[in-house]
Formats: sequence, structure tokens, C-alpha cells
Amino acid sequence: MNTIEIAHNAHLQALKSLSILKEYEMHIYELIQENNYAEIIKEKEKYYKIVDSLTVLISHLHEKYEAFSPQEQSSEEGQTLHRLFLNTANLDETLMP
Amino acid sequence: METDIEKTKEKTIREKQQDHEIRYNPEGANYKASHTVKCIECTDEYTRIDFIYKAPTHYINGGWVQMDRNCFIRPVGCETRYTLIQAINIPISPTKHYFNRSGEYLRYTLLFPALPKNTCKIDIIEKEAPGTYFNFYNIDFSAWMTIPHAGDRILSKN
Repeated sequence: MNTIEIAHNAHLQALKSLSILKEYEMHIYELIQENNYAEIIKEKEKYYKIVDSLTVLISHLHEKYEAFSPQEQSSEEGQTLHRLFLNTANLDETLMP
Repeated sequence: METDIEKTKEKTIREKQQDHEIRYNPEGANYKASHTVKCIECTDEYTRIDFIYKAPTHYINGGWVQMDRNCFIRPVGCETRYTLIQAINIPISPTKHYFNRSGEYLRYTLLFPALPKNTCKIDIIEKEAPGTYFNFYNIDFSAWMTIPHAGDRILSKN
């Protein structure tokens, strides 16, 4: 797998994780309405696991991106990573309370 | 013909009381208090704490409230922290809940991991720092009521 494919896959994986997180949030809101606290705890644990793996992925890619030369940053791989960072820039603020 | 009928055993009052996982603060229904712990539910899976907050009168519109993301509980005399899992009906900092008027009530719930069995006293800490944070120390809920507050009882439809 070349570096562009890796960047694209990381971008897709991150976007997929974001959509899974939203699904979890919807489900947790439903559980809150039902006062199903035991289930909320279980779902929230899974939610945080995805958040953690996504955060690790982004920080790893960020380190890689920072080490790029300006030429590499403007390459297709660099631009893909840049798009990924834009999409996940406000992740902390969008997480479920 | 063999029949296998299980004998039903009536529980003693003590056993019934131990079954009740929710402890209601006798002062929890005191609506004159500005901020109280209403009840604490300890199960094998989670610890749920219900609060009642009354918007203070020194702000014209009652001001605002929020909860720190790193809020935690800890058994008294123990250093282990059980951090917040889910806040219900109160926003997490930096988001704020603004009251419409002073004296308005906000009922909110915080969910934490399960506490060790036989925990009787806990500290509920939003943040140990200078400022107006929601911190409660040395809450002894072992002697709290096992029956709900009168206002919480579901009324009969008759």
C-alpha cells in the first residue's frame, strides 16, 4: 500500500468513526430518555474507546504531517491528511457531554 | 410423578432494605436549599447521583451552571477517583445552562462507575480549585432513607 492509499484509508476510517460516534450518541440519548443507566454506562465505554482510537490515529497522522516538507504537504497525500485534520479539528467540542 | 417446586422464601425486612440500592437524602427534598444531593443509587454497574440546584437570588436571571468534564467521586479516606461517565440535564463546561429567573430549579443527574461495596461516605468533586465549583465533602449516605421522597411517588390514577 502506498502512502497516498494509507492517507486515504486513514481519512475514511476517521470519517467512519465520526459517523459511528454520532450513532452511539443517538442511542445514548434514547437510553437517557428510558432511564436505562446500566446500558448508558456500557454504551459510553464503547463510545470512549472509539474516541480514544480516533484521537491516537489523528495525533499519529499529525506528527507525520508535521514532518513533511512543504512540497510533500501540498502533495495528494498531504492534502488528504489536511482535509482529515479539518474534519476533526473540533472533535473535543463535539463529543457527547 | 415427580414435581420440582421451588419454595418461595419471604425476605426479612433487613434483606428488603439491603435490596434497596437507592438512598434518598432526608434533606434532598428541602427546596429552600440552594444545592442538594437528592439521592444516590449504587449498583454493581454504576453510581447515579441526582441533584437539585436552585438558581441563586443574587443574579437577576438566576445566572448559569455547568459541570466540569473531569468531575469525580471518591470514597472518603480513599484516593481512588471515579470520574464522570455521563451528565444528564446539565451541560459540560464550556457550555452553560442559563436560567430564566432566580429561584428556578434544575434537576440533574451524574453517572459514575460503580463504587466498591460497603462504601458509606463519598466526596463529590467537580474541581478542587479556587472558584465556585460544585463540591460536596464527606457525604454519609448510609443512614439515608430507602423510601423515595413523598413528592416523587407516582400517584394513583384513581
